[in-house]
Formats: sequence, C-alpha cells, structure tokens
Amino acid sequence: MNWSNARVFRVISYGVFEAVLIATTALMVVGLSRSPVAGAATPPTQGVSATAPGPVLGTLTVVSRPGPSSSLVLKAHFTGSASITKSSVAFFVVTKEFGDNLNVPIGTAKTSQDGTATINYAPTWNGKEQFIAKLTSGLGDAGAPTATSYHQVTASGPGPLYASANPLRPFSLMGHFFVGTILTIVSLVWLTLISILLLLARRLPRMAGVMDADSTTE
Amino acid sequence: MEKLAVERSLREAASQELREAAVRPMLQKPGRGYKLLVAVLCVVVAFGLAGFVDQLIYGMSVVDYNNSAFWDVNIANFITIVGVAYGGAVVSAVLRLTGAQWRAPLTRIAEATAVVTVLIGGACIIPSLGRPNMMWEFITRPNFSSPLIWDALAISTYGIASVVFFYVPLIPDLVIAQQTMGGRAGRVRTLLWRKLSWGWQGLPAQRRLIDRMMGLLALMIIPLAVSVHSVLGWAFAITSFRPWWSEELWAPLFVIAALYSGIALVILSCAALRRTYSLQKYITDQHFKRLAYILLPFGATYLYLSVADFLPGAYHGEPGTAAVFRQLFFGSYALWFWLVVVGGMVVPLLIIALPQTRRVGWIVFAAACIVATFWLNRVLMVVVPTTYDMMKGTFGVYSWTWVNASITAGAMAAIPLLILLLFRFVPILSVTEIEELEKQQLGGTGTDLIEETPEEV
Repeated sequence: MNWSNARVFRVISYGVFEAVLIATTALMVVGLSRSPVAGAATPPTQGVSATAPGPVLGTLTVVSRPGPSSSLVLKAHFTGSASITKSSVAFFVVTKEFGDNLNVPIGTAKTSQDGTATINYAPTWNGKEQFIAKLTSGLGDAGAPTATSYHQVTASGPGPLYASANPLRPFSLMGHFFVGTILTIVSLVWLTLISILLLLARRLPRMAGVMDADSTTE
Repeated sequence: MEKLAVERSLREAASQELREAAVRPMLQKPGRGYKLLVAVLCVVVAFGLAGFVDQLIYGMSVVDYNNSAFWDVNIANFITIVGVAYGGAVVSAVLRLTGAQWRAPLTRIAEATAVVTVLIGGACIIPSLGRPNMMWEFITRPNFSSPLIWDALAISTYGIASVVFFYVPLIPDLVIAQQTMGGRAGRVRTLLWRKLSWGWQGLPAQRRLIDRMMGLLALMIIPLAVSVHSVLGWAFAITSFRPWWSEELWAPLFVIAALYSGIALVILSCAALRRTYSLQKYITDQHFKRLAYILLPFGATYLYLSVADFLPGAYHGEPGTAAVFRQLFFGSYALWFWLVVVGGMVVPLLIIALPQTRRVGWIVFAAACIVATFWLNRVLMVVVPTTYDMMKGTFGVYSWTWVNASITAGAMAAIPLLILLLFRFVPILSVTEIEELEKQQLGGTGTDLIEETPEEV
C-alpha cells in the first residue's frame, strides 16, 4: 500500500473526530440517565418559596360569569410545599385555527397569597374549548407546572374576527339557484335551436308534399 | 305590353346573372393563384398542427409556459378569433331585425365568417390546455364553480346557434344553386343540397316559416354573442386575481372589441371575396362605407372604455395595476401598446371620419389595421398581467417559440382557408334574399338595394 502523508493525516483526523463524537454522545446518555425526572425538582423561582423546593400542583377552574355577557372566569390555583405568592401565571386557549393545537395566549395574572391567579376572558366562538394555565415565573417553558381544564363555551359575541374579515359571498347563499337558472336558460336555448331544425325538417317537406298532391289532383 | 315584356326579360336576365354570380366560386375552375393560395394556407395550417403535436409530446414548456408566464398567446388567439365571430353574426342579425335592405348581398359572407371563426376560435382553446384529453371531463365531471365551464357552455351554444343561423337562410339558395348549376354541380354537391334543402319549393308558406325562424334566430344570436364575450371577460376577472384582469369594465370592453374587430373582419372578407369572384356589381363601395359607419361608433366606444379602464387604475395606484400600466405605457411593451392605440383606434377612426379617406381601399386598410392590432391587444392583455410577479413586484419573461408561432399562424390561416372551401359548397350570395328585396323595391316598399350609380363607383 502506498499511502501519501495527506491521506494518512485525513484518516487520523476522521478517527479523532469520530472518537470525540462517540464520547460526547456517551456522556450525554449517562448524564441524562442520572438527572432527576423533569419537573420533579423544580428549581426555586421568584414566587415559589426557595427554601422549600418540591412538587407544585395546579388546578384550573373555568366558570361562566353570571349575566348576559358570555365572559368566563379562569381561576388557576397552584400549591406546593411552600406558598406560591406573586408568581406569574399565563393562560392559554388551545386552538386549531392557526395550526395543530396551538396555545393562544389569552392573559396573565399574578398569584395571590393562597396561590390563586384569576383572569376574565370573553370567548368569541362556541364549542368545547381547552384552557391551560402555566406557572411561568422564573421557570423554563418545559419545566413550568401547568393546569388544564375543558369548558363548553357558549359565546354571544359577534364571532371570531377572521370570519368578519372574510364575509360570505353573496352568491354563496343562492349558488345552486343561480347555477340552476343559468343552466335552464342554456337548455332552453339548445331546445329552441333543435326545435327550429326539427320544425324545418318536418314542415318544409310536408308543405312541398301538399303542393305536389294538389297539383296531381288538378 | 311590349315594354312590360322587355322589362320582364331584363329582370330574368338580371336574375340569371345574380344566380351565376352566387355560384361563381363553384363554377369557376380554380386558377393558378387560387390553387397556390390554398396550398400555402394548407401548409401553414399543417405547420400549426405540427406545432400542436410537438406541444402534446414535449409538454407546455415548448410554448414557454413557466412560473412567470402561465397563460400565453394561445389564449389571446382564442379570444381574438371567437371575438371576430361576433361581428359577422351581429351585422347579419341586427341588419335583419332593423330591416336594412342593403344587407342582402353581405349576409351570407358575414354569417359564413361567423361560423368559420367561432369553430376555429373555439378549437384554439385546446392548445392552451396542458392535457386536452381532460376536455371530456367538462361533460362528465362539470365543476360549476369554475368560470371555464361557463366559457365552454357559452361558446358551444353560440357556435351551434351560428351554424343554425347560417344554415336556415341557406335552404332556399341550395335549391337555386342546384337549378343554376344543373349537371355542373357534381354528384356530391347535388346530393348534399337535396338532403339539406328539405324539399324547398319557394312556396309562400315555406317562405313565411323560414322568415319566422330567421326572426327568432336573429333575436337569439345577439344576446348569445353578448353572453359569450361577457363570460370571457369575467373568466379573466375570476380565474386568477391578477392586476388589471379584475377590472369591472372588461366584460363590456370584450363585447365592444368583438364587435369592432368582427365588423372589420367582415369588411376584409367581403373585400377579398368581392375581388376574387368579381362581385363588384352586388357588393358595392356603398356597402363598405356603410360597414365603416357601423365601425365608427364601436371604435369610439372602445376608445372611451379603454380610457375609462386605464384612468382610474393608473390614478389609484394599486401596486400591481400601476406596475402593469407603467409597463404598458412606458415599459418594454410600450411600443406594442401604442401601436394598438394608434394603429387600432386613432388611425382607423380618422380614416372613416374623414370624407377624403372614406374609400374602399382606405376602409379595407383600416379594417386590416383593426384586426391585426386587436390580436396584439389581446396578447398584451393576457401576457403582461401573467408575467407580473405579485411577491417581488417584477415582471417575468415570456418569449415566443416556434411552437406558439406556428399554432398562431395555423389558426389564422385556417380562417381564409375554410371560408374559401365553404364557398365551394354553398352559394356566396343570398340569392333569395336579394331577389325578394328587389321585388319589394320594385313594389316601392323598401329602400334601394343596389342604389349606387356608376358615378359613385
């Protein structure tokens, strides 16, 4: 084998690179297997008591407000081993309008002394909606404790904004009637044309025949 | 008594002369010039068919369909040729309905032009389709939300109506042609005429029936033609949201353009056939002047509608429309655009308006300018908005290839070829109508049919 220096150098470089890659991957696997379960040891946050780390549990209650308006009250309650006060809670509604199950923010609130955050929300469409409350203060998005609730919304508002921006087309209400009318007119035209030809084909020879018969009789 | 006999014999001689003139294209042995013309036209049509076959084999890229030019000259050919079909039908229908007696020598040529052009124009849509075999699905799976189905429906209805409108007044003339030509007609023509004339004997009852049917057809053909050209205009507005295409004025613009260019084509057909078959005695200079007078208001209306189309769009400055108009007025298409304005509108209108130029030669020149520039106008209407990139605000490139050039040339050559061939089978003049109107004239019920004096000629 007659290997040049450059080729030997290239083989060694590839070997070193692959070794580093394998070692890094191995370390990551080991590290991950030793780390605690995500969310099990929530790091201390601004609102959550830093002295008593532990699991945080949340509940979300959605209730309709009394009265003619269809607004909702979303109440998220977070409890942990320590009190959760003045922590930020973000509220979301889950929608498929803009993609697959996107969380659309609908408001934020701070927790009170008993760990409850409340917002009012006026939905603009009807149906069973999924709401999420997420304790966000100082926490990464992945590690934030969340609470979920489903609620049957009955909106009395004008409907979603996207619908009003794209109004129904006038002909969509009478499309079938419109198509039917035009097709009828076209059919009548075709029928008239065919009738004209048939009439000429039948009556012209008949008229000539009558004339011939008359002349024969004479 | 003797005077009456002389008058009668003169009338009979004139009638015989008229009948001989009507069948002249069939009686005359084709000369060398005629044969050469037919051969050249056949070659051009064959070249067009070859181009179409090439497109079928290699796809739409051979006519330079690309992302920046998705419609092309094939669509312009379709609109132009279907458009000119309107002129022939309307000249005949309107003049028939208004009882204009001078129409009689022109109606056959006008109706034949309409039939030929609507058939060729309708066929011109096929090369613009990527998969023409899908045409079948218009019938089997119609999509009524698509403007194209309405286009197809309107054109096919108008096409059938044009054929019937051409055929019904032809019935008496087929018998006359048979009588005039006798054994010279040949077996095929004699058989064809006998079958198609339905035992016509010229009885008053038969005449009344034909007249009633023609009145009905004349009433139907005008709204049908308006609907065809309106649907074409609307097809642009709703097929794709392109700048300039969504103008509300496009439907009336298309109708007026069709009338204007269609009457111009009737003038060209009459001039060519009059010269070829020496019909100067029947198609007089006065006929050309009257057709030119009809042309004048349509030309003026088209000019006005064009200004009404461009002015608000250019003033409002909506980005796409403004870019297209800038391209037309001052950009790379400016030469062609101004050629349309000057050559298709200003010059022809001046020629007709000025008494000094209101002569057959000038009128035919004006008509030729109109037909040519209105095809160019349709090319601009189709190509410029399609090449506009709505994201970048720039214009793509559309270029001619031998394929779309050959298809265009083939379609254009097919019109005179089919008209020439058609008059090898049917009389070129509407003999019955001319004779009938002459009788009315003798009875003092109508205006002069051939009112020209030699001085006027």
